[in-house]
Amino acid sequence: MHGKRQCRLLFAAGGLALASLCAGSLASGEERRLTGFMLTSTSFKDGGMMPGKAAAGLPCGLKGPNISPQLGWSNPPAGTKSFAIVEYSEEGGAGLGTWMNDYSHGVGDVNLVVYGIPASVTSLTEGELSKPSPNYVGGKNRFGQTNWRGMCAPPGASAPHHYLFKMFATDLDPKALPPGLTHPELVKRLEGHALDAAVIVGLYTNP
Amino acid sequence: MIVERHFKQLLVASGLMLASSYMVFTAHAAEAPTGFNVTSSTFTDGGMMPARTAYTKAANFPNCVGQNVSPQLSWSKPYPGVKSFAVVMFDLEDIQNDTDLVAYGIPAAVTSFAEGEFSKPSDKFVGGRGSRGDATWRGMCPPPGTAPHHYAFIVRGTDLDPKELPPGLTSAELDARLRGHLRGTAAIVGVFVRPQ
Repeated sequence: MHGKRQCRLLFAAGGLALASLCAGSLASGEERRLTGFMLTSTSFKDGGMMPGKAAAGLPCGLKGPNISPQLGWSNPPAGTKSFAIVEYSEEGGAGLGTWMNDYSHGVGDVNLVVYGIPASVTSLTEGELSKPSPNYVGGKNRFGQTNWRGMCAPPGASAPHHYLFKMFATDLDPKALPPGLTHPELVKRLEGHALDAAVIVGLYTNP
Repeated sequence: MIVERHFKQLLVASGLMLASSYMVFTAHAAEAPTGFNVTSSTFTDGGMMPARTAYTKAANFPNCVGQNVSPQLSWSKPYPGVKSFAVVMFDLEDIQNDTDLVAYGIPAAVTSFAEGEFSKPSDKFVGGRGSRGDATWRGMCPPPGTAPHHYAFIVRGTDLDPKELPPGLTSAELDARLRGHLRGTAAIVGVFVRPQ
């Protein structure tokens, strides 16, 4: 228990770099869990189907108007100064790695990379991620786009794909990171600054 | 003859056009059609995993509430050309993707694992190395009073012979070895929170 608490303190204080020391000594068999940090959506239920209006539309051959889902969050860890969100699909790119020379699990087919969301912001309305907003700094998704790029499952993708929304609470000032970072670049910049993460998962299949 | 040759040229040309328009489509689509999917009789996709799948309680693991029984998994409709499968399970909320299972070298003929089958060594898979050093299933063990976490089970088809990869690879090492050898990915996500 003592070791666990030390890990928590280290984690809160130093973030990823120190946390990885803890990870190396996870003899307790327990997982690092800091808060009740949670990510939710009024547009879809966790583990449920996402609405068609969130899909990418043309050029995917879909009718979706590319309206980003509503997202809300609560109980971020103490010391949070900004949030970052990535959204990706493990199944995307047919899981073939053809697009993804840098493919690794937890990266997949990246549809959204945003950050610099001030700690005072606790939700984003439907469509807010579909266009530039003072509430976030746009990174670069797999397609070089700086905001929401909806699901693009082609007809015949009979198994629903999983769209993983991962929000990081960080100790970085909202203006600390330059615009246009890719997902791997963002992950690198968050080293030592990510305090905790929260996840919500949506499903989508092209009807 | 001339007409026939012209016709052949037309065929070739239209075939190329069709092929290129398909490539454009797939290039944009990024998610090629496949029915490849993974299911579990132990939990529903997006649903709560039962306590028995969590790690076993012991003197030094007071917060663990389970029996370390790995969940049942089945998959179907893999891509053509798959010679082996790889299965990893990791905590999506964890900043470093804390990994509880790394298994690969699963022969293409194998399409399911019974409950508990990943909990012990077997000739159906080659054990890698999870975040806590285990070659087999290492169930969840969260402390009390924390939010539910999502655990992603990722099944990947590969064109590698089942004996190709050495045992003991970490998830990151496995990713590197699978580069250029992936033949489709399927996922199922379970949720777990320590019962109060």
